[in-house]
Amino acid sequence: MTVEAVRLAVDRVRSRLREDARTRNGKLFAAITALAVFAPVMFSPYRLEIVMQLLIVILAVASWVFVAGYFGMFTFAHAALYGVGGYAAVILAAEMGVHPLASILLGGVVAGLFSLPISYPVLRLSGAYVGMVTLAYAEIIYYGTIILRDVTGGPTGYTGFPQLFGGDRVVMYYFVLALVVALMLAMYALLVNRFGLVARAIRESSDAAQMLGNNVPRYKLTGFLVGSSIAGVAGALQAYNILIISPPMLEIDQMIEFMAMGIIGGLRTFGGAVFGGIIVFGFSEVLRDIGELRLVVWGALLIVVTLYFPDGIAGSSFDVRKRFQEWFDR
Amino acid sequence: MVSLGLLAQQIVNGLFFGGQLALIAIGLTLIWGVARVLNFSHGAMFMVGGYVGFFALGFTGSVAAAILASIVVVFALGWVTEFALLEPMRDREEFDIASMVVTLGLAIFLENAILVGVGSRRRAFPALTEEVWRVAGLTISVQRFVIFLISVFALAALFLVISRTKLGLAIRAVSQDDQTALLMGVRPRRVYAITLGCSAALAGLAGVLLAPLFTVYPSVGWYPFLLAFVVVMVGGLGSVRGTLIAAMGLAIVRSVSTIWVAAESAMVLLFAIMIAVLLINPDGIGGWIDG
Amino acid sequence: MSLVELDAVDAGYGENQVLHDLTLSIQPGRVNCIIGPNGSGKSTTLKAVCGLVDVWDGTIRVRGDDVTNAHPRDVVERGVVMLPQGGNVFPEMTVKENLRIGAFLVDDRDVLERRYREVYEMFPVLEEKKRQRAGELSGGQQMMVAFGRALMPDPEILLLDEPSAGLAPDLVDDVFDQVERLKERGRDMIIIEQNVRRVLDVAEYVYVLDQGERMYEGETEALRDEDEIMRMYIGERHG
Ligand SMILES: Nc1ncnc2c1ncn2[C@@H]1O[C@H](COP(=O)(O)OP(=O)(O)OP(=O)(O)O)[C@@H](O)[C@H]1O
Ligand SMILES: [Mg+2]
Repeated sequence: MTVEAVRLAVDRVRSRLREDARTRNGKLFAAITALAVFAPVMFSPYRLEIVMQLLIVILAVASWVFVAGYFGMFTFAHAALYGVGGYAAVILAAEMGVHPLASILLGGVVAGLFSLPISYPVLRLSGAYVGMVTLAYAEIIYYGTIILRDVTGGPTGYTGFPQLFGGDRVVMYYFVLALVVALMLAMYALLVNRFGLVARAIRESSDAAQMLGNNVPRYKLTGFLVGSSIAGVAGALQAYNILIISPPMLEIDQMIEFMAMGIIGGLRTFGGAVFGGIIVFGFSEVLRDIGELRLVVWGALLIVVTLYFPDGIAGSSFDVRKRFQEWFDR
Repeated sequence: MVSLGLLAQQIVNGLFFGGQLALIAIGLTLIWGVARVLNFSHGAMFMVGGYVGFFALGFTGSVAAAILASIVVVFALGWVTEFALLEPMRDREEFDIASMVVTLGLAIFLENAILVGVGSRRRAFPALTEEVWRVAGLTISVQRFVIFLISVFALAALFLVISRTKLGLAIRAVSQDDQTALLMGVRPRRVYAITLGCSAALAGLAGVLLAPLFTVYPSVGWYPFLLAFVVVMVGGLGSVRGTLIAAMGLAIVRSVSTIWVAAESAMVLLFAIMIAVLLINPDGIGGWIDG
Repeated sequence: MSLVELDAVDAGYGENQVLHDLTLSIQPGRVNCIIGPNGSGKSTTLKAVCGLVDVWDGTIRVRGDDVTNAHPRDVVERGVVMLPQGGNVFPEMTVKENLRIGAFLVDDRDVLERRYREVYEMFPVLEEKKRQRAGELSGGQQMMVAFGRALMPDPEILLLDEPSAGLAPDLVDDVFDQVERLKERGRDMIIIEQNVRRVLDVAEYVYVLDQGERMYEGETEALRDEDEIMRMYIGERHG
């Protein structure tokens, strides 16, 4: 890529950002980001923990939307790769003396490497079959973390690794916020440029995209790799945040949670992850008291959104009058 | 060196296990074959079957009544699922994914609604019989044998319905070409609902039959679902014959491999087989034998 | 009373309107044909009658009964049966099962047996291959399966969508022979054909469609005097 091309791409991102900032979602995101910046002074340490977890979850969900929403590769392996990133980071830091900050990046790299064996079937298959094959792979990784107990600590998980920033939570918070925003921006930049255009073309019709002269397998592989690596980074951050990593973090339940957030937020809009994360995760925290009932609500929400708001919350209009009108027009 | 006796015992265990697997998996493959739905709530239907059976047994004291109640209630659940959740989306381009997500939502909903409603306690389902037979050095649990027989019976009934009856003809027609089936006077919506009902009823039957082995609790359906999922993939989604062969084969593989390795490793083996089959031929075993 | 009547029908797929204010009144006791260029909405017209396409506006009647947007089953129950374009046999079913499902609404065993015999008499090859899967047959034989399947319910009104398309010349002859025989027995038919010359030999009444609108209708004989229509839609060499 030439310098000129990069400059053009950056310009494009800037103008799209300016455009998007004026939309309903744009304004909401600006407010949310402002809120996030002042979170350490506004919230109690316990609340701050929650916000930090939420930020990381949003990153993980966004990276899934990047793969599943934009390319239409409906992967179930994302939570497993998120977990792989977590395990890789903390094990590298604890056993091999890698600096924790560097280990976070390496967590992403390892997750990317782990996505490679399954990428071949993912590229070849389509629709529901991608979901099936990645679900099987995710299960293999999940059982792997239990079987390889010498490395992973087995079912009880892995603890006792060095902390980030010597345990300073506020510094850690800003680090997480910065990294999450930076990676989200990076994905956004990819998506508003040619890359995102081709991704959507592939989702609509892989054959047509190929005939237009795009190297579809290469695009899909890149998308899958980038998304998976970012999930790995998110997993590494989460491991350092909650100070433990264990098999439940990469179980199918976790995957379903990510998926629910992505779908409820909206698969067609990159910012959907933010809404989905806040609504599902935030909701879960607020409703902790009502216990499992919140999961009932969640399941129902997933159904209602898929049936009536296929573009999720970010992609739907909530103009009540218009909705009503549509209802009668039908 | 493994003794031949142990090997034979594990093969017999595998065979019985295969019958159970087939019973769970056949509904999953049926509904994909006919309606292109990968039903993620299949495990939840299994679970509901277990609970209905448990409570029905408590009320009536009759195992037959418990089985009947499970079949009827879960059939209705499948029917309603089709009309309320799947039918409205049928014209969508990404129906295969949307239906996956909606049934996943349903699974979460059902599992946790039960959790909230009746608690997470494991309910022990009384064994049909504790008796064992010893034949030629093999130990055979009579209960497992009976379960196996009922499974075979249920599967045979399903086969007969599909291959011999007018309903079966309509089901096959809709699965091959629903538009043309309409022109013959078939009502595909009804066929989908009946098929989903039957598929669910089979899961419900499995749920109550296996309750003495698995006990009954809200998340009991996931493990059998995952196993059935592997079976269905290896057998070839939509192929009834492939699914039967895969159920038997994989159950024996699992059973025999546990002589040497832990249960988790056996699961890894099954999932690896599934990925390999999907890679070689996405239509699975069914792709070879039906094609 | 008209046999089949379309009254100012607008119809289409999704957002895409195909039929525009189409009015056709098909009378009993004659063989009708619909001709027109590719994509002009001929198949859509028949599908609208059968309830396979959304009718947006207007009315469709069969013998005076309103069947606009009715379930296809209601249309079949009124004796209207369609042979879809390309045949669309059920490939995984045997030939006999394909015939059986053609008469899906018939339950009487004796009636069924009689219909099988009639169809086998018209297409002897189907009896030979009755246990074979339809998907394994040649294209021509599949067309016969589809034709036989459409005759199984003994329809009062037969809608044929390009029954001779893609067939070898001698099979095309067979198809038109069968159409002649059905005509002799007084069966009402609406036929869509690309093979205009052959269909004009059997049809007594012609409709010409273009872009979802009716461009012409009239007796086949009268059509031969319509130079403009002949030139635009039929071509001199057929005249
Ligand atoms: N299932 C469908 N979905 C969307 N559009 C369709 C569908 N079937 C047909 N069309 C469109 O409707 C228009 C009319 O199609 P139709 O099949 O009625 O034409 P036709 O006159 O039968 O042509 P042909 O001679 O090729 O069979 C065409 O533009 C076609 O692209
Ligand atoms: Mg046509």
